[in-house]
Amino acid sequence: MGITAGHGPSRRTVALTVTAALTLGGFALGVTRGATGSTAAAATVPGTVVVEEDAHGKVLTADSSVRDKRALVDAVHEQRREKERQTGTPTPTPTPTATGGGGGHGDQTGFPVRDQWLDSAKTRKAAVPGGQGTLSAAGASYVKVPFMEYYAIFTDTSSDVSWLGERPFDADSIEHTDTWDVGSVGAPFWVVGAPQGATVRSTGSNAQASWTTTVKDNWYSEHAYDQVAFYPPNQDDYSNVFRISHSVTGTFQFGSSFYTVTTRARAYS
Amino acid sequence: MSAPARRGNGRGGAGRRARWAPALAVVAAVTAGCAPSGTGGAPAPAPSGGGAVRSAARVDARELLRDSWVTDGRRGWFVDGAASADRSPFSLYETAWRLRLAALNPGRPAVDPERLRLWARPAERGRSDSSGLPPVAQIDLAVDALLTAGGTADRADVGRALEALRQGGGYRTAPSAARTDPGSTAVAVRVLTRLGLPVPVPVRQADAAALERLSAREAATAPGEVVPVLQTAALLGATGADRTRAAALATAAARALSAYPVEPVRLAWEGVLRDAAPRLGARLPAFPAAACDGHVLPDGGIGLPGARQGDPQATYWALRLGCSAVRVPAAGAHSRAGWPAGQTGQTALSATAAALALARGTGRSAEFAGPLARQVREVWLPRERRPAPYDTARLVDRVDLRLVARALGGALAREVDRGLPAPSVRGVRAADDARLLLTALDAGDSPAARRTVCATGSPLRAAPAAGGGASIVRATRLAAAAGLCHDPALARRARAEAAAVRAGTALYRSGTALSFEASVMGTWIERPRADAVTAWTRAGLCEGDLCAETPARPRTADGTPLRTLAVLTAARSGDYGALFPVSF
Repeated sequence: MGITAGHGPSRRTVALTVTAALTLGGFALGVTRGATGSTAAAATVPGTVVVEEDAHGKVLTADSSVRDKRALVDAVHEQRREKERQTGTPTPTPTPTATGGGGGHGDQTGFPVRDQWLDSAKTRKAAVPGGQGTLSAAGASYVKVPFMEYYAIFTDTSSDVSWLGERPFDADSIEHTDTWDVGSVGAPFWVVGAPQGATVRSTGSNAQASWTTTVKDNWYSEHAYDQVAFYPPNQDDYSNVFRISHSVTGTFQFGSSFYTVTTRARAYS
Repeated sequence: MSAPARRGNGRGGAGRRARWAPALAVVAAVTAGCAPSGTGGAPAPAPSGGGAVRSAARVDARELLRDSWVTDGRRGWFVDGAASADRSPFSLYETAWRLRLAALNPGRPAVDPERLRLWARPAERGRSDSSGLPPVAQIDLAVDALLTAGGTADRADVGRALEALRQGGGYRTAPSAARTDPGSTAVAVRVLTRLGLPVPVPVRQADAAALERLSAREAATAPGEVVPVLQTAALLGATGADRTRAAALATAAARALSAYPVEPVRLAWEGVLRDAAPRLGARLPAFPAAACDGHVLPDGGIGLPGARQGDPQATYWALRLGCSAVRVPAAGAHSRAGWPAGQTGQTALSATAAALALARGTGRSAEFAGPLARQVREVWLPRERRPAPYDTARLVDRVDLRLVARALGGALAREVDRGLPAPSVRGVRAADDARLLLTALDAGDSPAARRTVCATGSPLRAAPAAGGGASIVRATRLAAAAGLCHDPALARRARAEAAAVRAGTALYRSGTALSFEASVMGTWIERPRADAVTAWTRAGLCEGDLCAETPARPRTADGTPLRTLAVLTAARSGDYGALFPVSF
């Protein structure tokens, strides 16, 4: 979104402008319940229900009619894999060299971009030693990093946390957190476009955005979010990104007990 | 090699600069609310006016180092943010449950409750956003950890925090939750009774009403809904008809649970039910000691489904229930302040480099040397075997590893230099200031590498492209290259580039804004005679040991990272050569 459109040396300007505009637009929009037609992610899998939505993201849970939990989660993961297949493996994007190149997505001067999918999962395909129940957390985020590594943009983030046991069928509550994290050399980074209500931190060597939502009396929570960007604060003091990660945490309440599962995928670390 | 100092950076010339301006202005406006925040650590002092230098919060570096030192007895490393409330490296869940596990053992690991309190205090109030836990669970685990470690909880704070979760006769998981639930109510009542705090009358009445409402049939079909009500009844000391009803429900619930698979949820429910049963007058059959057989992981514990390692909560309940095949697992790597969260492994090398720089200033390196050297040899060095080209992350790890090895002694530094693939500028473009900087630092230990990366035509010695503004990152890479290659011309360029972003003595800009990071790098390059810490303080970048990236932010900081403290220690001693690099 923004970053991949257009060619030439002004690409980064376009990207930043578009991103900033999108972000401002997102800030202006309130979250609505039960909305449909989100542009934040692909079509929802049958059996999931949108409980919160805005221009950039969705929170979904399972419809109360769903009985086959594993089938629903498998369908969500298959949809995620299909999206990754469609996006394909990042390839070099040669562009005209007359501009001198700058290492951005639009002026690579023949250098490859470093884009990649960050996939994480815990207890997927679990050989369940404890019985039928499985606490699952899984996520994917496409991180765009130019060859010169001076920014990172997480796009198409999707994640899900689920309780796959039968007794009890639902958890009393599920707290679901997505965290995007970037380390940097040199100048501190700005976080642009984080979800509404997200916690954002940026120090000299690290920037992080963390988005938490809670669903009650369900076994499933899903997030979809379009774009979180980590930019250097100005065009002269480029600093480089490293230790890029996306993590997913689910805390499940069963009566007075709380269990937590976290999964994490990293790039350049 | 004689290009003027204020030249372009190759990633964006003057023309691009103009094009960036409107977009950056928008970005700056958008991100104004998420500007770089504090640096972690002790409570910040109240703000003062007029830019006057005044005494402010100081950090005891020796104590912080000991809090940050994580060891399993054989190997060790450091974590950053040990005194931070917002960015704690410690896991509340792991710490609370591992302490309960340890309490089952005579040889329990030592955790200092006062050091634990430094980072657990926000959780006592239900405000540890980084814990991944809802407030009611935060409060419960924080109180539990503090008491199990032999400390005390702040009864007034806990009482207020729980009251904010109460709605009539029940409690919610969080103030934002729409309604109460029996589980959160049981948790809250457990905490209140444990601390000797009064349980509000509506809560007592609501639990009695719930007992009356519940039937044996519900206990049999949905024991999970009944168990927390029984737990609350036991904590409140149910009597008379309530107690009789509760005993019958407990028996029915236990019978229903016996048909559940042996997994963490059942173990926890069985555990709390059996804790409650005696107080309710219920006599439950013993939990079968062999029930966990076949579910025990190699570490002796019970794991979350699909996990390879035991979960401390599930293992605790299995042990309490008498599962004969389950063992108390080894304490695992922890510090005297608590058990680290899993993600701290990602930054352990960086934190360790910073800690050793700080330890050098406080004369405490030796006590960590043995376990750290094993960590270097057995973990960190073997994972850096990939040859050039190196991306930024790889270069950062290589430089941090060299900094750690150098701090531990010449022999280990030589061993690391021999073990790492050779430093190289392969694949690094002349405009990539950050990677050139890291490459220069990477090559510093090896004369052979120095000759290679400093050779004529190397991008390390290239002049910056014409056009564009000055950059502190570029100035730093030029200075590092000048030092490595003994190149006076590069040194002059570095100083000129730094001077171009200087905003005052020891003060430098990143772009247009005054920046602490830039000021550290600029001071390292220019080595002013003035007291840098005083300059940073007057400019609003620091207050005592609290520093932040932009002026006036220190007052919002909740602690000091190890790297910042190492920088302040070096600057206060006048050793500006030690300001950089500390760690990445």
